[in-house]
Amino acid sequence: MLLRILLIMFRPLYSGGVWFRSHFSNFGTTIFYCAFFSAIIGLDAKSNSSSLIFSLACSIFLFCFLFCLFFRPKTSIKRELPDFVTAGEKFFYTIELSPHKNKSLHGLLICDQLKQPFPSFTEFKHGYAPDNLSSNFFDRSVGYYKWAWMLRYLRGGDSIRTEIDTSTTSTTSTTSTTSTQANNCSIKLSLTPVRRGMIYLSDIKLFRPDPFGLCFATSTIRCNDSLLVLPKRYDVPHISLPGSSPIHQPGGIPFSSSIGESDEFSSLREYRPGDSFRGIHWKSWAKTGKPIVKETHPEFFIRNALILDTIVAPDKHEIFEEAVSVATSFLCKIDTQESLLDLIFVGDKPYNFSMGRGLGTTSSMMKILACAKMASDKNFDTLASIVLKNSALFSGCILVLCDFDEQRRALHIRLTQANIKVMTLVITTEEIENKPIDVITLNPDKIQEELNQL
Amino acid sequence: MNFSAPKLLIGFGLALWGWQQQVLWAAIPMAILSECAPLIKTRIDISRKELNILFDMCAIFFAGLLVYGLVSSSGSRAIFLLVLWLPAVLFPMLLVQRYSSTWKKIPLTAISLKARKAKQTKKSIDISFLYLAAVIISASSSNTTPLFFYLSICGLFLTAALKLRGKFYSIWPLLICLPLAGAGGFIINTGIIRSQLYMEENIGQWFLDWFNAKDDPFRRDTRIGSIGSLKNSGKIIYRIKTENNERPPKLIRDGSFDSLIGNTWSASDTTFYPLNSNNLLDWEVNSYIKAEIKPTTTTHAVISGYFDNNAVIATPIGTTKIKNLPAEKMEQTKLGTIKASNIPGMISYETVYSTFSSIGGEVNFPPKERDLHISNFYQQKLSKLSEKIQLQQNSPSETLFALKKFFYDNYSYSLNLSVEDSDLPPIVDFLFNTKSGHCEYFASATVLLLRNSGIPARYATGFSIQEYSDIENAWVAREYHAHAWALAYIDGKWINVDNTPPVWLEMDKAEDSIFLSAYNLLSWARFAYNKWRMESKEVIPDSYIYITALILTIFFIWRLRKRRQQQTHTAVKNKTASVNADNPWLTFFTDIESKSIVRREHDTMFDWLIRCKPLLTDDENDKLKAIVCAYYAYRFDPEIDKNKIKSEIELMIKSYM
Repeated sequence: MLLRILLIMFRPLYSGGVWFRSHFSNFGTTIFYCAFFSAIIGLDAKSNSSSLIFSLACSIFLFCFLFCLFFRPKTSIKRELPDFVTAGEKFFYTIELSPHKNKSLHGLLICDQLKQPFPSFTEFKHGYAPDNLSSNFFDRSVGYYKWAWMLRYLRGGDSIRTEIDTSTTSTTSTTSTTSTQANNCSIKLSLTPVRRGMIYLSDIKLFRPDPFGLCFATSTIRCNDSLLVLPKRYDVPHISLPGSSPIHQPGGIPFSSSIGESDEFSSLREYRPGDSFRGIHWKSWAKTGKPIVKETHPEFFIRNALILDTIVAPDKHEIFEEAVSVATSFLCKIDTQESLLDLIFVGDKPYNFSMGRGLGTTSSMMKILACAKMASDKNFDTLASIVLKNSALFSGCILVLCDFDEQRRALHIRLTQANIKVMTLVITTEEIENKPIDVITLNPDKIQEELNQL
Repeated sequence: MNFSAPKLLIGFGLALWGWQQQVLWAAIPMAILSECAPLIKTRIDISRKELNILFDMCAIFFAGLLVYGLVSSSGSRAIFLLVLWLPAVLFPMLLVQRYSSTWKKIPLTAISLKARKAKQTKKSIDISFLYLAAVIISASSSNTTPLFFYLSICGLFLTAALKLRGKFYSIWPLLICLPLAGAGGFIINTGIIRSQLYMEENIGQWFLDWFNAKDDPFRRDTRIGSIGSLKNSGKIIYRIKTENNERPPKLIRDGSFDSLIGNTWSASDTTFYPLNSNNLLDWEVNSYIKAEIKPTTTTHAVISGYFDNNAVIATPIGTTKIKNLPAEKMEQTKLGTIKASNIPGMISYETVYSTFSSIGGEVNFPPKERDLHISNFYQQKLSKLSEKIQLQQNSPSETLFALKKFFYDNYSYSLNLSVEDSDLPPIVDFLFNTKSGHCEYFASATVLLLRNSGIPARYATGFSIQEYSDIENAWVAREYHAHAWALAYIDGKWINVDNTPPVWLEMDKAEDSIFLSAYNLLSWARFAYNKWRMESKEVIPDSYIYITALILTIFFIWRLRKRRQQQTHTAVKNKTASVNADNPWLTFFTDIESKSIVRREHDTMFDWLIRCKPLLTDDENDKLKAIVCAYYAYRFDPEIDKNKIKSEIELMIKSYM
């Protein structure tokens, strides 16, 4: 009951905080708190001068309030977002601003607004939050830090208020502005997604500072967009599943008869962590200013499986995220031009997606993995049954597990007994008793180091 | 916080703080140190761990200052002491930011334990502006030169705003609006002060009465008629010492009242009359002793306690002199209440009081009509009771005895307040229905019954002195010893009439906290310290504290530096030892070093040889070069026969020697 009441209180508290931060600059916030403490110390206005600070601050804020009235900029706005980005990786995108009355936007500030979903009581109570959020019993009991963390996680990141400076034309690492027409400008903003999945960008806020630099007049322009954030990826070693060519043949079978070991490529795309440096297309990098890699399409005919364990307890959220990342990393590493790869996991129902040989691309599979969710309410048998049902088709499989209990052990043994080449990766912090030799454990805190040793 | 205070602003702020708080001796060096950072090239290399220790020390000083403030003075004074020295306590943080080679901003881990625990090593803040805000707030807690201070903060704000304002507006709106805002601020402040005065005089009176009722010499709100439980703490309010540890007076009074309106006793005459003093320490209490009345004995008692600036002083009945009380002014009402103005936080004053009979007495200020006044309603109700007890037919002494017996036989003491007939005035309800209550009921009923019997009577409040503390070697009056009783004018003098059943003391004591013993000990320690401070007249005790704090700070910084130097030294030694562990000819090379040039820490052998070249002969140089080459081969060539090369080197060294 108390938690419910607290949850009801958190929302206005949070909204109040958001309102305060969006209307006061850092300088303004300092002056505000200065006035607040002065008011406390200067309760007896006759005996000290603290009330003078309070009075001056009140008077200045009154002027600020007057300056914050009547701000309705008429501007057309367009976002230019990348197709997809990677969790934890900072990315840049541009916003095109075209003021209707050809007024200069110089000196205004701009901030992108991410749609803020709020967790329900059940989500809040049973939802995951890192242990190190609060250091004391009171904070843990009240749970505000957990609430704030969940909001940020659901939102997907934090956007930064950036100043529109039409006087500069040079590109900087954080923001750049270039004039295309008179007073039209293009702002480069950055965002670091904190999770994979969809991120919704709802509004764009323009801020006009007052002459003192304390407060902002704000105006919101509706501009809905969405962005797919792919899971974080690791640099995984090349694995030889059955059917993989011992000598990599760029271009695959379609080109092998005519060009041999040529470096022909089939498409270009943005560099993603884990991509080999050899694949970087330097000319494109030079043109675009960001790393571009070339993709090839090796050709094989074997069918392999990548099985992701989604049946995880809610408190193992971090382990699950790491499992998704590991699965995504292997997904990108496996050649699917000349073999088929089945991605199998359980969501609200069991899913089996096939890729390779024209059926799908790595990108489409990564999009699927970006949206994979935990199925804590399901039994592992659901996953095991679909895997075993199709096991006759597989030559090899990669099993990414979040635990290694009896059910999972049984699946591993049955796949091995079915003469399928199995690579089982268990993301866990615990020691596995009687661990089979072919099972690899990965500590979620040092996955990259342990993957390097494979 | 990613913006810093503009240059010279902190220096100016510190100077303003020094001026306002009259601590220029501390402010000026701090300002110079703060602002000279760009001119001084020396930078301190300070590790994250050391930074954490330094900031913890600041926090300990902060807490220590608060404790010191609380120990040496009352709550509000402690806060002001804390605010006064806030810039000094936070100064090391600013110094780190200004003089550290590692930290241009202060990492969050140094300030926040939460961040330290969560290992948020990436976040950092620029504390210069926050520090400036703290300095200004600290400066404002004094009222030395308000106009100068106001103009200064306007100037500081303008300087900061010029740097931190947005680019949307030009500079002119700021320059035009700030004087207007400044004028507006001044008007607002005048309004605040006038509102405060108005509130103090009118609307706020009830509010102040509610919280400060105890110190109001003219009024005393009672809990008569309330329902619930009364519970006071065991906090020691007064300590009383007498000559030869004799028993002090049972009651010490801090207020007398003659009018009962509703449930509030108030004083009809609110005029204060000044007490005479030659040295502002010893005061003659106004007493109009009739010539025919001679005091039987004169006794001394030293009363100690903590007081606000202006406070009502508790004295035993019959007080004729108050000694050793440093006050700007002492005043007394005609009802005997004594008020002291502008006194220190803790005082220990000696009262000289006369006893005229076995039960004490006071002859100053004879009774007036008001002391016999009783409303018609009370008169009707109480007359029957008086007749029943036969009060009016006895002599005054017999009346007092009969009244005491009546209360002891028929009434009980209770801290649980209850009402039986809410239509009746609470005192009447107490007398006829509930027959149970606390001291205020007994005192009020006694006053009314005495007046009804024709004896002038007043309502008095103060403390009952019942407890002797072995730790303190003194009598103590705790908060729960607060008491009310009646004063009766009999045989030309005022005497105490306390009809509350004595069981009240036991009942109050039964509520003692389990931590009372610990509290007693702490309270005594605090008192002893303050007494020592008060009695130390040769030096200013505060300076001890500041000097100790300064010495401690210097000591901690020195210790920190020394430990670091030791660590570095040990690390270098270990490193050298590990490098030279497989060098069997270390003594030889050390000898060469002592004859020529000492090899620097990061010198390679060849670099060192080049530096040694002018000091050695050509032959020596050639031989040494060969030795070093062989030594390099011995150390770094994996394929070489170690034993062979070792013997070769030894031969070469022999030849060189």
